[in-house]
Amino acid sequence: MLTIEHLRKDYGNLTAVKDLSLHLEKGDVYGFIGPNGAGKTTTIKVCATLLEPTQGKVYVEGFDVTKKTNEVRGMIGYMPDFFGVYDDIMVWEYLDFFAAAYKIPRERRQTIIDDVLELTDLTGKRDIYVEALSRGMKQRLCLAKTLLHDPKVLLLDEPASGLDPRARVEIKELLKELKTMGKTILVSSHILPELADFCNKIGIIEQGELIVSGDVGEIMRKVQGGKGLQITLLADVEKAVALLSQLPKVKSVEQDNLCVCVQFSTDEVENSEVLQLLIKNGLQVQSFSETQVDLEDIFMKVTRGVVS
Amino acid sequence: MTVGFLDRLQNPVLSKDLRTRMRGAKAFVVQGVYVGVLVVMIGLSYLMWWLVHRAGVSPLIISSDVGRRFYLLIFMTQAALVALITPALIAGAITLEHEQRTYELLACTRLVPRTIVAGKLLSGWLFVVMLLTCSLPMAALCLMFGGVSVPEIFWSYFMLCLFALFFGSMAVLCSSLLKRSALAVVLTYAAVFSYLITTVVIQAFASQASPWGAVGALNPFVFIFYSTEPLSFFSFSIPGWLPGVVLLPLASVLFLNWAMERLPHFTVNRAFAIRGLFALLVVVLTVLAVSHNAPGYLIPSSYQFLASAVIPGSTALLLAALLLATGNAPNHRPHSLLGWMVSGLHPRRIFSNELRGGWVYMILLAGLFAGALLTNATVGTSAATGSTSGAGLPLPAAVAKPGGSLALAAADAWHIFALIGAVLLCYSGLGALGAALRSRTVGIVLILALFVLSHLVPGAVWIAYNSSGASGGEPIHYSLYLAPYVGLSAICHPSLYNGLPFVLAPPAPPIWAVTAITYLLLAMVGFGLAEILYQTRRKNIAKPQVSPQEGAQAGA
Repeated sequence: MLTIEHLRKDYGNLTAVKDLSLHLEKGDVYGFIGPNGAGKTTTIKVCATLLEPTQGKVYVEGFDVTKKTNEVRGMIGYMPDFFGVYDDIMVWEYLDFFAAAYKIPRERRQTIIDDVLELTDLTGKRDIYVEALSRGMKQRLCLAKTLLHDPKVLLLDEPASGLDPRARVEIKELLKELKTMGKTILVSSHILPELADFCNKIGIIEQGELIVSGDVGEIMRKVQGGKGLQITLLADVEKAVALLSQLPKVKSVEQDNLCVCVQFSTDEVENSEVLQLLIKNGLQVQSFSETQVDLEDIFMKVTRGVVS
Repeated sequence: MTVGFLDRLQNPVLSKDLRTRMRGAKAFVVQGVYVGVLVVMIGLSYLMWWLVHRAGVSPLIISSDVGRRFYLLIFMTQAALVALITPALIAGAITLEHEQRTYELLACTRLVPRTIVAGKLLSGWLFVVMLLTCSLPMAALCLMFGGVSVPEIFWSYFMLCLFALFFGSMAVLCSSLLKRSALAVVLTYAAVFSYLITTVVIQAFASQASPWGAVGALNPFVFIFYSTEPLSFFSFSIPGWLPGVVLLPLASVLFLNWAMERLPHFTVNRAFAIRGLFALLVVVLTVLAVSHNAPGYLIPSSYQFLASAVIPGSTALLLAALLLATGNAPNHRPHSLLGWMVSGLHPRRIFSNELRGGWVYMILLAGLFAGALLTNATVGTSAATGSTSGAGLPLPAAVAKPGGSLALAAADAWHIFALIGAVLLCYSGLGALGAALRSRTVGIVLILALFVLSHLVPGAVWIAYNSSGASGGEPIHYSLYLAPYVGLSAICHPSLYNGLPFVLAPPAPPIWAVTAITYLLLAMVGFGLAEILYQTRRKNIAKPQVSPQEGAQAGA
């Protein structure tokens, strides 16, 4: 659905994006994570036909974004990180203008506008002037505008930036709904928890380079390097540490008060065997679980923090 | 998604802009002020007339004089208001989209540049037309008094609408070239006022007897005075509105095409239209400029120097700058200039969107320009005077051959052609170098700098040379060879320039040849260095990018 091949974008002597490649299938939700100035916006703008790549190719459903610009524009929905609204125009007029700009026939426009207003929960604001809307509502309105022509690919650049917690949650819910609608979404953010819930693929970009990219689960396993166990005991923590250290394929054993964290170099370790060993040796286990790695951990592990 | 016929006709940008423009008090305030200004002007004029009438100062007051006075007052005021209001309404059309951060949203839709540019222009233009219609009752008042005919009023309104369209197109172009509204408005006002002044000045050069002429008819203030008077076009008589009706839409379409090409985030090829329209405009303007004959009238010698300086220099500057402005290649990716020159031989390339074929285009235009100039001079003079003396010469012939015989020698015509061609090539060569070094803008600035230097420095030297009694011999006098106009004047009047110094021993070659060769050499340097730069950059890009880490690993 969206393919980026060896993308490079230079601004004079500054290279914003270096040799970036990725591929999104239909229905993928790709989280583009990176600190400010990493090259996320540049990549999205190239995909949105707004910037010409210095090198490399970008295809949307097989159409080259630099050559078949008009076709690509009909297939994508782009929401920039910063955008303005027109003065003296009502919400429905704003959407009607963009619907006409996307060449939606006049007789279908009203129904489509009503649908997107309902989807973005703005039906009550239909006849309000756009400049009177709050920041969160404007963000939702922009998303509504992006959905008017039923695009196959959504390019959302920092959709929740600058919003209060409630508006942030509302936008997240909206994105989840779009995911269920089967849209292919490329969404960028520098705030990790925003993306954790609904992305099936992620890419981490730093200084214009895509450091990690792929399926969330796979990346987590790759970054973690093997299974991790978190065990809480009632007593005899030192004894447990000594026992666990003797297990094969153990990478590290860390003790934190009554809690022991064991890291193996492989996933092929049976949890039940470890638990059995502890109980057989008379240790009282209060809790026993696999260590959960989140996006933030992955990000901190793979990035060098040069930009931020 | 099928799009119906009516949907195809509609322009979303126009609909939205018209809707928002008329919303709120702003539009009605402008309308009120517009009518208010006209009412005050008419009121004051009427009051003066009434006071004079009552006091009996002028017992013989003819109603038609009053009607004529009102007509002139209303339409002159409206011409001024159109020139003032149109840029203010339209110059921010596209820059405001940038400033409001709405442009990217607009560019990402399926709108094409034609729709955006036309929508922005028409929304402003229709508002100006609406303002013009507000003055209809006052124009009717003139008819009641008499002294003015219905066709006069009709053509005045019609031409004001055309002028609004022309100024609006200028404003849209400025708006698409710049990113800030304030700059776009200033640039549009500068362009509009320069146009208004230039048309009067050119007409003054063409004919000191009357401001009414083909070029004068392109000025709204002059037109209103003579709206129904015919124009002299060689030995024919044409309606006064004809130059405006032909040229103003032509220039507007040129500006709009240029605006479309310069609109960010769109890749459209309008170079064919731009270069073609510009060539047509140059030819039509030249024909119009030389078409006005005033039998028995001679151009004063003080103008000869200025006119001969302006014609080749400014034409070359305009053409070269335009070529670079429509050439896309240098800013995007490295191209081989040599490749352009070889492929440029194809006639189709002349109007392509790249610099390739540009040099052929330049020579073609120079030929058109020189041909129009010389043919019209000869034809015009024969038609007007039928004599072979200098009296009654149309402008270019007088410039080209002051005081000489009428029939220009074929060799002289070719020398002029070669000189103008060399200047054009030099400007485009150095412009290409500037573009290769940095950007298209740098290229245009370089051409401008060369133009100013080659006119100002030799101009100053010329004054010193003349005042020193034509002794020559000073090294600074060699700079005279840099001025195209010195070469041009020397073709027509060699005896004037016999005293010019030359490095070689006599017999010295003709001045036009030295100037042409100097310019050709400069052109070769420009094109050559640009080619080397492009080739070097192409090689650098072709090399694989290896990071220091990868390099170290490969080494290990």
